[in-house]
Amino acid sequence: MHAFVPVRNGLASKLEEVERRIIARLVADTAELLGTRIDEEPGAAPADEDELLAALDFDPADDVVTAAPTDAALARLLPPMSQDEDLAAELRALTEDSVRAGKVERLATVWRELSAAGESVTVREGTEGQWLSALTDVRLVLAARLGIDDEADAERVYQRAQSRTGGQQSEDDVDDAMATMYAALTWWQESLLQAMTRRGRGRGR
Amino acid sequence: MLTASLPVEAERPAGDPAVAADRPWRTVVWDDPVNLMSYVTYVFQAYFGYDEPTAHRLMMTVHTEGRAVVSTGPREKMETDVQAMHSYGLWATLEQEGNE
Repeated sequence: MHAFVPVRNGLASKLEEVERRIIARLVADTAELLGTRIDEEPGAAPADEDELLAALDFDPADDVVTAAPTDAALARLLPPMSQDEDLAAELRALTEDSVRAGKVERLATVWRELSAAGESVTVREGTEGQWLSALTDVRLVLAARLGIDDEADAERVYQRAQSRTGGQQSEDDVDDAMATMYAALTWWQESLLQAMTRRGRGRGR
Repeated sequence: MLTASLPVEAERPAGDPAVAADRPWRTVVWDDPVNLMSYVTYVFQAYFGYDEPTAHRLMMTVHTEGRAVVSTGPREKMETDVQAMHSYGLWATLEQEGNE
């Protein structure tokens, strides 16, 4: 995974094939959590990836539009719009479908680019916001699965990602892998934001 | 209609129940451990059109105080703003002034 650099039509990052495949799966699974399949062919992913993604425990989205989702990750993607329960239910009925659809559309845009052939992934000029939102949604899902509720939890996950060692198989392997992906996606998103800032400064001169 | 009646109604005493419906609403963004500080600043610039110093100041308020009011206005507009924040993956709620 390389930092984003300016290219002719946007900002690009070189990814290993396996990195690209895993990120694409996470993006597709986040869309599925929101109720829409965006990858029609179930991929021939290696078994360890299947185990990892199964552990993310995606539940199909339900159709109840006034109650907050029971799944913690879905609840974070679609939070209440008010601290007042009645108002929150009223607003959820009005807006949730649209928020869901928008998120799925952005995830699909990102998924298509990740699924295209090539050594690097390009965030085309004008689609930066879609990428940043989609990456945020994927990170929110991973964070919910990893139990990140405060800054200390987040720090623990970054430590875990850094100290991860190979070898011994254990129940913690899946959590270790999720922590590694969370940390990697955080770094990748920050890299995209930095590349956007540098480009903006370059144009401002 | 709400917007048109606002200047007149606002002159009435704040405790008057008749004006409750006309008190302005606001969009509150809450701190969370996942969203990057640089991303939150980006969202405030991209969506609200705030300049970088304003967006950065609001982001720091969210980060240090746990929440920040990022916009105020009629309820319908605040509903749109909160929905937009959720689309960006930020955690936001709307509330009416005096009801928090």
